[in-house]
Amino acid sequence: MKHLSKKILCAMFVLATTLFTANAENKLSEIQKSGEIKIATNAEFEPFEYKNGDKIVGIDIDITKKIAESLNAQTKINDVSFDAVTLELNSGNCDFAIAAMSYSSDKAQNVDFSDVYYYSKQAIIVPNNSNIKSSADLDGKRIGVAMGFTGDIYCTENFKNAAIERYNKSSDAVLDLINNRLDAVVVDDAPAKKLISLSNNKVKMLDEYLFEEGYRIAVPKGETELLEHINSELKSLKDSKEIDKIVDKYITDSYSPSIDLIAQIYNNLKEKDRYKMIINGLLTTLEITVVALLIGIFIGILISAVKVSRKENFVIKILKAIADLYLTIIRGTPVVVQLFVMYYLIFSSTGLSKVVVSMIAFGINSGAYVAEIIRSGILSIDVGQYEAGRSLGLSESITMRKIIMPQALKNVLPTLVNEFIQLIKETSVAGFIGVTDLSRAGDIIRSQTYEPLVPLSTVAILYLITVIATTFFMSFIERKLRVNDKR
Amino acid sequence: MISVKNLYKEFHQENKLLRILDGINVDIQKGEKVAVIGPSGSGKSTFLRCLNGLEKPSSGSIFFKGTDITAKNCNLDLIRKNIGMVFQHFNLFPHLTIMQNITLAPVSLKIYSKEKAEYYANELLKKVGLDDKANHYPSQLSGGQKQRIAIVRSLVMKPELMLFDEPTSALDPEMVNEVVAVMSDIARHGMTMVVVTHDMSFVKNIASRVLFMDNGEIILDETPEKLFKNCENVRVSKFLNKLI
Repeated sequence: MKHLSKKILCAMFVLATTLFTANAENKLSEIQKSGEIKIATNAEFEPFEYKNGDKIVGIDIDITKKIAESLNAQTKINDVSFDAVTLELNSGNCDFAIAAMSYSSDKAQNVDFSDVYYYSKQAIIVPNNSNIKSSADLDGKRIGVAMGFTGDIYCTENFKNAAIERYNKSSDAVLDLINNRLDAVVVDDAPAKKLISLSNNKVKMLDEYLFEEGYRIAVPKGETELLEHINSELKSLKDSKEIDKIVDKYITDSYSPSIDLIAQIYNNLKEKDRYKMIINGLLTTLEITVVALLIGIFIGILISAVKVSRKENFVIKILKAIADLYLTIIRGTPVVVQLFVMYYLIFSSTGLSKVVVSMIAFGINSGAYVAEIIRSGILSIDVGQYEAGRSLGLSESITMRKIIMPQALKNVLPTLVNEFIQLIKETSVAGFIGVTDLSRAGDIIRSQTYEPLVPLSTVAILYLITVIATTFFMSFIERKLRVNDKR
Repeated sequence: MISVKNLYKEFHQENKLLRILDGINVDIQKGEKVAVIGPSGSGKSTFLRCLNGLEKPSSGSIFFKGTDITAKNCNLDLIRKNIGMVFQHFNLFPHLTIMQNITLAPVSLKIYSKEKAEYYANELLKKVGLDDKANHYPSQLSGGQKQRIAIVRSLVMKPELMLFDEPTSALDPEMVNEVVAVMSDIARHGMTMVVVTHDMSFVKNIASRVLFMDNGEIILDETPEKLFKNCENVRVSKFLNKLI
């Protein structure tokens, strides 16, 4: 799957030959002495090695831990770019490299490879009546792949005339295949089998795999003791089916499909306490929405007060210009982009949690809309109210705070409730930066069970209930506030 | 108490220069009750609104107790504490109770404590016969009652000058008397008043001086007696004949 460029290999070769002489001691005894095993990997290849929160996890990592256990050592992971993995190995900083690497004769000149610990096979799924008989028929067709995965990379490179459709979940790709939106789907063989049985065999797998490759561990050249130990450990892991268990944990699901609704509800919500993820997602959604709206109202009041101010001094002019710029930028760009800018640029080095960044991003976004809502509320108040306040000797800000704002806010309450309802649903965008809100909780469950019905409808119903409850509660508040009005 | 010098107010509208006030010069002494009358569009309200700075004149100056309130560095908020204003449409605050309407300004400006402000407010409400309405909202009151509350709201600040901008024009005829009665009571207690009005009963019974305005100018400055008995000005008598 991953191939190193020739240039880097040359560079590595030069580096390796210079470093080998300095690195005379036996790695295996070094590990046993220090009680620490240092590995190099590239944590960008789910499910083999990837970041889950701050932790690096994956099939390769679990295998590493098994090997480390056999040596009574702790694991220390060195996450580098894929090109640098073997470089790291030859610099002597690491004991071995594990990064879903396959054998290549080029690489074998610089490192020693272990036996294969996992065979990756890319299966081709087509409808039962398809005229695609082999991989040769694929070019020029509509092919569904999981975005960024091996199948994606392979198909993009090899089928130049094909329309490659990239999905976040391979289950979504298979669903589109059944609905005739695709001609074929290319996925790893393990999930492929699962997906076919879930489709009630409406689709089939071709006998031919698109390609097959074996993943191996790399050790520095000449470390035969370490290599032998790794090979014997891998053999015992394979013999005891330990590796299959690890792979199952990351790729497949032990559940067998059901068309029974009750069984689906049980599986999607009760099994593995998945309902807790939904509840936590709902709470996260509400947290983000409420805090964002409070931030939004705060910003909205400030901005609208600046915009309607009758003062004509320099400071107010500057503030008005800032307010206009803010309104233009926030209302002129999509909230997803704003969220990305906040998360990946502005707050990237602050260590603020994703939820907090989402609150801030949605708050700032909402502020622009709330500002205009409140401004229209202020403009709806008779100018006599302002004049009465000012002629009593009240300053502009007191007049604003005690006379205009309370009436304006009451007038725009229905519109503010509308904004809140919008916001509840809009926060589902937070899933883009990995916040597990209500929508994403449903998505995660769907990707685990491959059953869309229960998670999607649960999420939809919860949104609906939240909105109905909010509407009901706010109309109650509104009635209370309207007591002194004759309307 | 008030000295107005060369007051002009003009603005451009569709390339035409509109002159609302055209050189007003007038002095008002403490204790005077000045009625400002004249046809609509003559600049009466604009003139009145200049007196507490709600309207900015184009040129000229207004001195209140020696302070030029048209000066840039003048703190209008301080001046306005001493000048009460009553509007044609009452402008009570609909989201506040009658008591809160009256005490908002003195309490916010820390003139009195809340208790003291409420005590004074009650005294004044008793005088205008509305002490039972303290906890009502403006929407529950009639027009005449609202205007009496608006007057109380100004009086609680203990102003030295009261401005009235057509205080009875928005009222049903049967409610005019209750408001005029309150105004005449204030007048008896020696308040300096400037009243823009179309109501001749106020001019006859309460005013000590009448300013007649037309086209942004004061064209007549007389006592009410002289105005009604032998008016030599043609425009004024024409206007009065139409009213009476």
